[in-house]
Amino acid sequence: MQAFTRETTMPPASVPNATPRRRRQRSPQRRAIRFGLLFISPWIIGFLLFFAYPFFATIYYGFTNFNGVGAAHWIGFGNYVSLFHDPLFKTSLFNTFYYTAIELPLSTVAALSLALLLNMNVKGRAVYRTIFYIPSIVPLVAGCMIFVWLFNPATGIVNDLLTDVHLPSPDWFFSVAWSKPSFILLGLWGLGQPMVIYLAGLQGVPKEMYEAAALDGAGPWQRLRSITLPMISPVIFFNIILQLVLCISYFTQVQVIEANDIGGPGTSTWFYVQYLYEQAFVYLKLGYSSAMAFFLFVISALIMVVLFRSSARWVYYANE
Amino acid sequence: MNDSGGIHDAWKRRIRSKFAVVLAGVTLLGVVSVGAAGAGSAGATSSSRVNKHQAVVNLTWWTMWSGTTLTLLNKMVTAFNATHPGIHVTETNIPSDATTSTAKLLSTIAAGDPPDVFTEWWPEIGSFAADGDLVNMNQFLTGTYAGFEAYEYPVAVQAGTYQGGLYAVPMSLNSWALYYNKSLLTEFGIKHLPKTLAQLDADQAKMWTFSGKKIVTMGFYPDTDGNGFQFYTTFFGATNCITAAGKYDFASCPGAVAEMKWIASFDKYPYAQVMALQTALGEVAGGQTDIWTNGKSGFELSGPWVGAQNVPTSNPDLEGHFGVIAFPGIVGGPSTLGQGNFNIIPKGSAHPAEAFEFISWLAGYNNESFVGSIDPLGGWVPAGPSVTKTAPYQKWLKANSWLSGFLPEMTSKYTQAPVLTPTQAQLFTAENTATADVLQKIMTPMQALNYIDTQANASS
Amino acid sequence: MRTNRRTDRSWSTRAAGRSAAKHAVLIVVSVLLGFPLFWMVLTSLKTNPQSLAVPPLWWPHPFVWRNYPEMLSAVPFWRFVLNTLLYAGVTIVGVCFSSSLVAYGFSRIRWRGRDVLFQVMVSTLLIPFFATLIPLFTMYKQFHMVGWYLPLMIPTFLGSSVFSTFLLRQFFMTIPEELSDAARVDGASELTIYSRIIMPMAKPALATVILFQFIYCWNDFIGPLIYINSTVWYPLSMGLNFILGTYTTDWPWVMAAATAATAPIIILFFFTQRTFIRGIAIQGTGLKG
Repeated sequence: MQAFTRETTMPPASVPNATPRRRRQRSPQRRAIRFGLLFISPWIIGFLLFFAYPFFATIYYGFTNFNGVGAAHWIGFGNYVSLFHDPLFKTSLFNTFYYTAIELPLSTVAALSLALLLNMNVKGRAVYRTIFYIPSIVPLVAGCMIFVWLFNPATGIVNDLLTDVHLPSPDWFFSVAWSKPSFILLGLWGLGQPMVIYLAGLQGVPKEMYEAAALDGAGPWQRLRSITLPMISPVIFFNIILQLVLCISYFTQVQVIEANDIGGPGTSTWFYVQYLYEQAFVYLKLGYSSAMAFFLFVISALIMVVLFRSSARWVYYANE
Repeated sequence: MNDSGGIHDAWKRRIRSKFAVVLAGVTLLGVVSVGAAGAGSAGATSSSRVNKHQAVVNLTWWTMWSGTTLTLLNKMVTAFNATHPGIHVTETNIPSDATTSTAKLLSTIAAGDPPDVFTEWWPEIGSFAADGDLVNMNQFLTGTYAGFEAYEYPVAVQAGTYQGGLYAVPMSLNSWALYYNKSLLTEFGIKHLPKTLAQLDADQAKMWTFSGKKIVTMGFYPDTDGNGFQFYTTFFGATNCITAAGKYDFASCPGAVAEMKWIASFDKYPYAQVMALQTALGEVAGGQTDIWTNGKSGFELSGPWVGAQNVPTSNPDLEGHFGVIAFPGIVGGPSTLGQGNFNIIPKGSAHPAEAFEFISWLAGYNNESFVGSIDPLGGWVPAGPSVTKTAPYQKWLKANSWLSGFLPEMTSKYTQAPVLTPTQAQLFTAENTATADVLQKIMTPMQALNYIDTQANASS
Repeated sequence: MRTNRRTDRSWSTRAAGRSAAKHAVLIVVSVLLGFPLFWMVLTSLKTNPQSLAVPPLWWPHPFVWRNYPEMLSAVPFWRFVLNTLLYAGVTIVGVCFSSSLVAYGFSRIRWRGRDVLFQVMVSTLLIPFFATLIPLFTMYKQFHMVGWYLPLMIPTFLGSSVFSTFLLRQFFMTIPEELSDAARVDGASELTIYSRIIMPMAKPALATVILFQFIYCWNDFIGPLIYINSTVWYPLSMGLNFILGTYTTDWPWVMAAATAATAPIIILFFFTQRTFIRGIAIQGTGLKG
């Protein structure tokens, strides 16, 4: 099974010196490009209409002292210089990457494990699947409130249970050390979405391959490693990229939970987009926030490119 | 793949499927545009219905509140529309917190089509005014309105003025005083109400009891409602520690140093447990209860709405068993921080003059008796003292003796509003962070003051 | 094939043991994941003081069912639901239409520059919404689209849901090239291949996309907040914040609203997840050996 490489192979070229039907025989390469662009034209139009201007405007504003309403005065790299002297910028960057570095692998493994569990032939798996999925569709505000309530160190039952079994009961969202892990737990609770995607992917693995492998004497772990994982690797890749995006732009849950104590205990839950938002819409420093946005974009785009390049080695796109 | 039908059939199928796709797309765009047209006319319906005489001015007012407050706001809008035939106000509720609604407001100002009136959260006014996002209302303070600023409490004028221009008018002011729980005080053997700060410290220290890690009762804590350093500044004479050059300098202000040290004296109590208890009792969502309303705290610094709305709704047993005194600060007399809920006119508003007419009416100008009947329902302190002299308001004051703890501060010479500066919002956030950090022993008092100064003086 | 009875029995006991273990794990995870929801529903059946009781009240006596009709009549709940359904319905059509076409172009045709453009598309996810809000809003204002759902709906017809396009593209990539090539050799056009071969095979992926677009619209708060200006068009997400309020919080009402908002999706999911189950047997056929 060879991995799909980015070198494309072209359909066989037309035979030269055949009957001159040149009008019907465009170069296959150009035909491919033409159709490719045609099919993605909705996105190109949408991109040019709705994304290009705001995106480039934001980059531009990053070099100005724009306040949202008045004229934007060019200040060159002034914002970026201020960024690197801003301790809260560094803190928020650290917090976001801490969260990403832990949540991303954890959620990938957890969601995949759950999907594997739910893919098995157990009675009532429709019920289990629904239960596992519901946390991710509960309205965000209600879900966050419930979660925080249950983990409340003063009134929540989680700490009561922990104390009953003589385990340490941390202060969860109210502790400097445990606030980010608490958000990570919250993220794991709402794993329904990637889990369902893995499920859909698992359903697409042909049963014949498992049967053939079982006949060959492969055990369940080996089947997992040699069949399941490669066959769903496109979906794994998707979920990794998606989780990266979600982790980097983590905002709403923090806003809901830390409404009265922005930044959480200490500055432990000042996440990057939160600080960006604060600069933009509380301090009205839109030039500064645009610089923050562009900085984040560059860093995460680099990470994404690395991930894409690595995908050539481990993502298998079912072309035999 | 057996294409026995040949290319002809394939073409037919292709055209049919293309056709289906196009048909679906067109139908949808049709539906969407009908919906949009419907929405557009729905928005304009109210104005077209009223616009019989073509002279009616339509004002849009955005607010963030809901629940009982929204009911009161709707009452006020109805009354205004009835008494002002030339103006029609449409109130739209933007259900969000202060920060997200600001994003919406700023977008509309930037795009040139903002609402005519907006009720703003007070730390934003300085930044908005400095950036030119607000209409300067000085231009309207003529004729009938010449006496407007004289009508308001001085602190209301102060809180809404930026570099000499009036940019914000309060709908209600907040007055902060010390609530106490009579039963709890008796239980802990506190016979006299604290008259000095030292007495308050001593009294409240007696009232902390725990069950394991958890708080059972507490005395007082300076940050229970997300109200930190900034809410105690007037008690220490530290509200406006600004140099002549306009730079914040709390670190050099003796009152500020005294205040921060006093706050730091509470770091012996478990911050996480207090915050957790506060959150659990609903405060995090601006709830109607908090530790004190639940009868678990001896003292609390808060405003009239606690006694007027929260207690009757959440803990009626507390009625008659609490009182209010002025906070025993170190300055000479009672005081409060001047802040409240302010109405502003965003730049680009189509009808700023009429907007000001509405705003001043809401504030009670030439409208004292109506506002005097509404404010008691919300537990609000009005923008001007003459409202408090109206019959309904007086009746409310007499029926609730605890209210007497709130009004004297409004005219005290120690009462101040923070001066509006372009970095007022940064100051507010910095003060909150500093308070929280001091209480968690992450910063010393001096570090905290320096932090506030650095953050609040940061320029773009 | 005759098997030894003793082997039969030990095999079936082992199978039973394995099944019990599976159920044990599933039940434990169900409890962990499901408990907060159980608490949510429970809270919706309490009175406000009961919901704030410390220590927590486990079982309200009696069930306060009236929270539901009270909450439903205090806010135009069904109107909010209708608005959300409209929002979701239109965007689902838009996404299915445009994202599948774009995904096809990025996966089923090999052309130069395809993968670079694909990465460009995915990288558009890396700019936070708030960063581009002001220019975006100003631009929509110029297009006269502000005030209703148009800025949220129309872009979905132009491939704006990169999430959906990405997901569909990944699925399309798992379909063997031979199918497309064979069809091309037979003279089928790309559009025919798209509609007659690829799309039917992508049912689980499409079902996933539809489900997620629905959930996204169901919970989308910030988009409608920014662009919609009249209360009558608010979606459910904003309606819930309405109930949450700034100065009043009736926790049972909030939880009742959340339950009422979640219940339809639970039902929808429970009955549609068979689409995922009824996997593609087709994808297995047609392969050599």
